[in-house]
Amino acid sequence: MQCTNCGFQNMPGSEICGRCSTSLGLATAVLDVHPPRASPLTKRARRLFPVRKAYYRTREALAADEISARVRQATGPLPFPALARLIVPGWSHFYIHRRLVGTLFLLGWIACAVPELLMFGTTWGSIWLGLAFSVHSSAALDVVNRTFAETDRRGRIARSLLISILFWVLVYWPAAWLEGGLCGPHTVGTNLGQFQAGDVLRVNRWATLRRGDVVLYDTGIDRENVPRYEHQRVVVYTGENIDRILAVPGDVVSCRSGQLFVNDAPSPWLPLYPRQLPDNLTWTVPAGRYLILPSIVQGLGSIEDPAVWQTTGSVPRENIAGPAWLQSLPWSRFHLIR
Amino acid sequence: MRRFDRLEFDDALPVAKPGHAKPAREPDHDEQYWMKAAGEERRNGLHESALRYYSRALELDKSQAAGWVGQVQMLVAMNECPEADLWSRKALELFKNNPDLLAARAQALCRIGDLKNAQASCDAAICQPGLSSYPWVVRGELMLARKEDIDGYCFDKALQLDGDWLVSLEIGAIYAHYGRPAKALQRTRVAVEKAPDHGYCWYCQGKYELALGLTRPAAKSFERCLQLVRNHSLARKALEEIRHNRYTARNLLRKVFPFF
Repeated sequence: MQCTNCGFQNMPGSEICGRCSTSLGLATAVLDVHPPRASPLTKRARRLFPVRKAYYRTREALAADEISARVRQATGPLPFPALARLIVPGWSHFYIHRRLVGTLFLLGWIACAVPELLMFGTTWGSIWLGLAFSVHSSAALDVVNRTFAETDRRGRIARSLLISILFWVLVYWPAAWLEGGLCGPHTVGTNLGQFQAGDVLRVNRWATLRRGDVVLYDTGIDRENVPRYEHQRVVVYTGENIDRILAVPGDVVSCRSGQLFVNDAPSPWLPLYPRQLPDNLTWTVPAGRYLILPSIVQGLGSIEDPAVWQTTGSVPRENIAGPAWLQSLPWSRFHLIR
Repeated sequence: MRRFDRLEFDDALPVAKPGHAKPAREPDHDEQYWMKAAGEERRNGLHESALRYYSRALELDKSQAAGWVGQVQMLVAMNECPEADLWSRKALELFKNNPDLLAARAQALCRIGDLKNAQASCDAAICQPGLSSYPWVVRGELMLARKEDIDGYCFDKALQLDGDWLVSLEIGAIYAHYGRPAKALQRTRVAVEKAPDHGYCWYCQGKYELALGLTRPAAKSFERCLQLVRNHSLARKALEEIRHNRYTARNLLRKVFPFF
């Protein structure tokens, strides 16, 4: 019997070819000879979303990265520059020629860090911070484990914990401290003019206060100290507030005909809601205090007594948290505060 | 309506020439007839019909490796590469180490993107005795996919083994698949020189010229194709697009995003 595949002459009665193992009874076998087909929709989907091709490409690139990293590793332990680059996730991978892995780590970290920055101070911000920290630690571990490739599992766990703690203490804690100082989040408690309860503002707690800064402050006024007048409505004005600094300590402030003068010059700054400025107010801002007229409080504009303005507008330095320069949440009202 | 997809009607079969009195379909055709019909359809660029005729041939004789190879090649040509891979694996269970089947599997894997296994399969194909041009064509495609410069050498080697114009044309199609219309045109011109009476060659030449932005030569190629094959719908459509709808938004969009 001659094989149809290779032409080899087999012994009579053979079922498979002695040379190429092809079935000799193939011609009469019961087989489905119609190939499977892809529907037009499947073909279109494959063309639009080449997932398999992307998978194989990534796999090949990772394998190439792995080979080059192993070649590099064969030359000895990780040099200092690679370890120093651990500060940025993925950077040290670039150094050891694992570009794709490095890119993935870097992009993953950016994808977690950006939402963290935007939502810092909220629950979701904490979650994103944790994810960014995990990606960064994983990137560092991936590089460091190459140096200690032969250690046991206990050693790896210990190293993971050590690296995580080191990263938290040396990188993330200082970073969070810096972020809290320069753009610390503050959630608005009650509706304050344009700011709604629940909005998140970013406050620079380390800034030097200047005229024109919109600041977050505490009025520091007790209900008992507010002057009371018979047969007049009393506006109780306490708690946190947001408004603009109009004068700094030592400035001579005067209000004449609805115009504010600071050191006898017309002030370019006005409160956030300049409804009605006090008439005939002349006042020197004492040391350690700032003039912030609470324009967003309803009813204060009709008060004529200069003493009330001096009481409400004079804010001590320790009551001012700092300039609120950004509204970060909700995203629909994300803007710089000026 | 999927269940009726494989129904065959008389008009789908090879049309009898006017001089012949034979009916279009004869129940007693042997497998060689269907293989020949499949080859002709393939040379006319009708891959779907060719696939159907290969299946017809295999219904009569499953021991024809060329039929299985042809099926896989047609599936690859119609961009059904995962199916081609599956089918080539099934065929390789029947015809172990068949070089053309190994090469066909390599081509399917290469189009899917699994270059590592494609390379292994192609190497195995070339190591087999009784080498045809097809493994070298696939090797050239593999080199092209890997962006290595020796693809031309492999294709030339294939042409040395088999100088058929279809090989040149398929090499051109491979270049076009990988976005090299200039090289595709170069190879297709060889096919046109060898077989100037085949409309499909002219159509391919026009297609690649159009891809290069050579609209006038492309129109001439399509016209020549229509002279040879009057009912070539693709050439007619392309010619109409050149003449009437040259700068439509859809055409411009297609230039930027070829999958539209």
